[in-house]
Amino acid sequence: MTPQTRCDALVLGGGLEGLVAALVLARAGRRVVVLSERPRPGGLHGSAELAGTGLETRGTVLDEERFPFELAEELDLAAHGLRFEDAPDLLAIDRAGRHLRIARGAADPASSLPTELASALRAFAASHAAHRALLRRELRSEPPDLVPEALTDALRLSARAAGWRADGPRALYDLLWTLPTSLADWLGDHFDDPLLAALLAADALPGSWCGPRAAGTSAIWLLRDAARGARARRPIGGGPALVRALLRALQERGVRVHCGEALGGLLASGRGASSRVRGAWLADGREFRADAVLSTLSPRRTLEQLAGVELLTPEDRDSLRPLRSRGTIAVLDLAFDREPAPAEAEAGGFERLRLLSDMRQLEDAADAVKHGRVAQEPWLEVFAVRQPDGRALWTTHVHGVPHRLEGGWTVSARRELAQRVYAVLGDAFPELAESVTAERLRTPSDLARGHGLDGGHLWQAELALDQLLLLRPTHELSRYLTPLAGLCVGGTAQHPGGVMPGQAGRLAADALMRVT
Amino acid sequence: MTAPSAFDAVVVGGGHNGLACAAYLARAGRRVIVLERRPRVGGAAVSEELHAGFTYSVCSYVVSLLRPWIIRELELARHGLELIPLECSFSPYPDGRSLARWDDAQRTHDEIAAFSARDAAHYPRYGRLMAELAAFVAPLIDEFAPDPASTNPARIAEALAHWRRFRELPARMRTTFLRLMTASAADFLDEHFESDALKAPMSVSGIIGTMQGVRSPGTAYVLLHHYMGEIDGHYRAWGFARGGTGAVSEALASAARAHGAVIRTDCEVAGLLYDGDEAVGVHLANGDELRARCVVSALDPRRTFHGLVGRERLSADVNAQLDRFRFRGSSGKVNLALDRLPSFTSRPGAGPHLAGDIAIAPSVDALEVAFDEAKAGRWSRRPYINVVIPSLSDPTVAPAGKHVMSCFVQYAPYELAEGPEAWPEKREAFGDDVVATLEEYAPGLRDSILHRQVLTPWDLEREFGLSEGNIFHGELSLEQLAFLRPLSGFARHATPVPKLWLASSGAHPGGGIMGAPGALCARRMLAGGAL
Repeated sequence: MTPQTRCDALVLGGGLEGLVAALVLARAGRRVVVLSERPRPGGLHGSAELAGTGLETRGTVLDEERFPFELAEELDLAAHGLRFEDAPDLLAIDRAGRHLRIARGAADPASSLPTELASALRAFAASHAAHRALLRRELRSEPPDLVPEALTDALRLSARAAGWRADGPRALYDLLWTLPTSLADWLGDHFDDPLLAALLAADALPGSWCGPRAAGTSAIWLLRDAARGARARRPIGGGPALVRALLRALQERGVRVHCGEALGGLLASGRGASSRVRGAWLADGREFRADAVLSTLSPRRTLEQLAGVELLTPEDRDSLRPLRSRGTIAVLDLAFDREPAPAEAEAGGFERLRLLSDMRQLEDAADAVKHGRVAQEPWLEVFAVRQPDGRALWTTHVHGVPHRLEGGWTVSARRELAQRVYAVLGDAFPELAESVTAERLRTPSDLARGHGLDGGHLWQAELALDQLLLLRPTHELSRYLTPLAGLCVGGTAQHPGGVMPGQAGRLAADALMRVT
Repeated sequence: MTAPSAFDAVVVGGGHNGLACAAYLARAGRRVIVLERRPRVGGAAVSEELHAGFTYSVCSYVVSLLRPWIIRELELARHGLELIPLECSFSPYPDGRSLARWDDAQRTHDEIAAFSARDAAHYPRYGRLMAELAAFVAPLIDEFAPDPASTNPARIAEALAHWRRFRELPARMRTTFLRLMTASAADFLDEHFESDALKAPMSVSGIIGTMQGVRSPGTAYVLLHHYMGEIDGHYRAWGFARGGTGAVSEALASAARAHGAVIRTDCEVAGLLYDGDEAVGVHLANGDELRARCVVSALDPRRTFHGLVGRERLSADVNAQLDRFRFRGSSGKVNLALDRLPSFTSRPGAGPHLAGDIAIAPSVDALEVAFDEAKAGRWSRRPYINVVIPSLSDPTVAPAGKHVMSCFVQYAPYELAEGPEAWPEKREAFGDDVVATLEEYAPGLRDSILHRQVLTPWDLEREFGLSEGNIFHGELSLEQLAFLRPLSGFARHATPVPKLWLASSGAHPGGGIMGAPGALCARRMLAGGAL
């Protein structure tokens, strides 16, 4: 007889989505257990010590500004110590040393720009401000069922359609024109300044496999803009603080979070169409039995590996075929006892910095990835965390790095990548190389292994026109239910993962409660 | 010489859409005159003898999307239109292999199986899936574009009717349709096939005429066009018009004339005549004026609104929408008169594989590299080339034993890094690269060339009035389709100028010798009581 644990809902994955889902379920009175394959909870939002430095990262993904404050309120995370603050300025420096600053957390984010650019940015913001509320509603809701069976669902669909039309034809035409447009076109119509255009475009590209010329990049941009809101705020302490608050809330409700558990597969009762998922088993033989399972692992991990061929029909497996998750980002953590001085004084003390020059560079980076190469001049986003004693840790997203590198991720390929990144960083911080006390470079392939990410993709499924909204990650899975009764999915592959962190877990928990 | 309102409608532009519109209006008893700037009708759907004995389909070279109901209703066969189906799609590869897809399913299966047994087995299933989807989409291009923003009950009812048809599709087809409207051609094909040799030549139908690559999102739906081709009721049939593509225009012109329309060539329109805000005629480049009860433009949206009409008569919003309407021609054309048939290394000698269309599309990656170059403002050194040799099916277009070879070439971006005006001096170098590419697959071709015509996007703009050389009168990208083509709120052929109508490919459902924009425009004018 194998040791067993019983609960109402078993949540697979201890990342942000898993913790949110578990808390939503626990608050609704369900007995919940969380199983995480990683040694620490929090996933890509959790902190990790950079070996030997005593310095902790502020997570691996840098999307804390898009965590929805509504969700924090709903889950009463303030009671567990979570506070919000205005987001820091976003600084950009190009290869010639020119810089621009956007005051993301200010009432007027354009206020920190030179006059002419400020008015261009204000005009641009005004041109799409009308869409923000509508898109935020979409982000906070599960994707619609286009062919509802029940009358109530049909009414809900028509109410939703009416919501899209509520601002009048002009606004709807404009939104429907913008969504499939490329960022290069849309931003190009508004901005002559190459650095400002690139700085803005860079919001949409992480998680996409494409460059700014690709159709639909404007949709990603608009959705992320709506997730951030007109004036960006973020949890104080970022992802790690969010994770701590969630863990405290879960602990208070008696939810156990098991970390470092190697999953073996899903337990099911019955055969064929009447089969139902009843829990999961671990590699060591233990079983966790539950009325339902909510997996925040990637769809492939969940359905192809854990459910496997015994439970899935060939048609169900076929429906996963189109799902793409090819990472394009490497993460470089750098520790300093004393931060290097910037070439431009403006860059001193930055919190969030983009090193990029123009749209062309962003497009070239995507083209390099497309052909299995590292970008000649990758563009970077750097996130700095500082200690009172002057020590600092920078987490750098390196854009333009393929998961499948031509020739493979050999030692020399890694060295080559590091050199290219140091070259870009060195332009902005001439003494950087000598100041580094410790570094850790994770290629998409390392991220795939270390975090169980398909293709090393930080949000499980690429953000693209055919994998957004009601097509995320596939149309069949878009409403959090799977072909298997008793199994829901709620990772970042699900809507609005990659756009609004935490929300997919929340919506998946709702879906699970509707069906059990 | 102005006779006030001697005509009910004056149609500016004698391309196939202008002619189709005129034919429908005349058929309904309206007095119509078509004015064409060039010495012959047809616009870009034109055949010309540019070298003694050799007739080129100068621009557009195959016929597939011409709507069957137009052929029937205008009795185009009686007016001389004869379509000769293409029976093969042939692709040679650099490694010496080749793939030909035939009308004969078993033959096609065997050819594909040489690359992938799995793909060979799936290919007919894919064809059926696409044909079913094409049947679902066809009403969308044969009717006015549905408008999701309209509050008009009739429009809402139309939209609901489309939604009901969507609901009736099997679940799998619904998913496929949604993916088709959003995915890239390469990604969509990846779901179905594994062999690059099959996917590469299939994927190119997603990019023809657009400044996108096969991996660019939003290109998949054009794959459907391949299955919408309908000649004599056979789906997936592409064909030549006997006598060249110009024969389509000649048949439309003949139908229009038979119904009483007047067609004048060598007649350039300089601008519109107005009575208040209303368009009441045109004035010609020679100074003459011609009045009518309304005006139809079969020119592209830029030439219509910023050429004929002018910015000052349009609102700021309309001007802004026109400014962001993308043309970005991406293709050129090389027409060759040949002393003998080409012989491909991978399938030497003459044979039925030469009688269909020949796609030089070595791999999906190679197509992407070709696009990368275009993004940087250079023509592709090794472009995608779609070759047809119509003289094999239609001996009327070349002297006995000789041949004409039509090469559609992509990418040739209008916006060269040096600027579009650099095209004339680069034209022949571009042509040389095209011939060099072909020579790699068919050695000896160069020596068999008797005459060569090279058309760059610049030439297409200058000679055929296609803004930026875009063969579809504006890119067929998602944001420029249906209710957004060409202007939101004006997708049903009416324009911001009262009594000016748009019948060109710049209107829904777009380009590709469908004839639908012209026919739908006429339908709208007649039903709306405008005439």
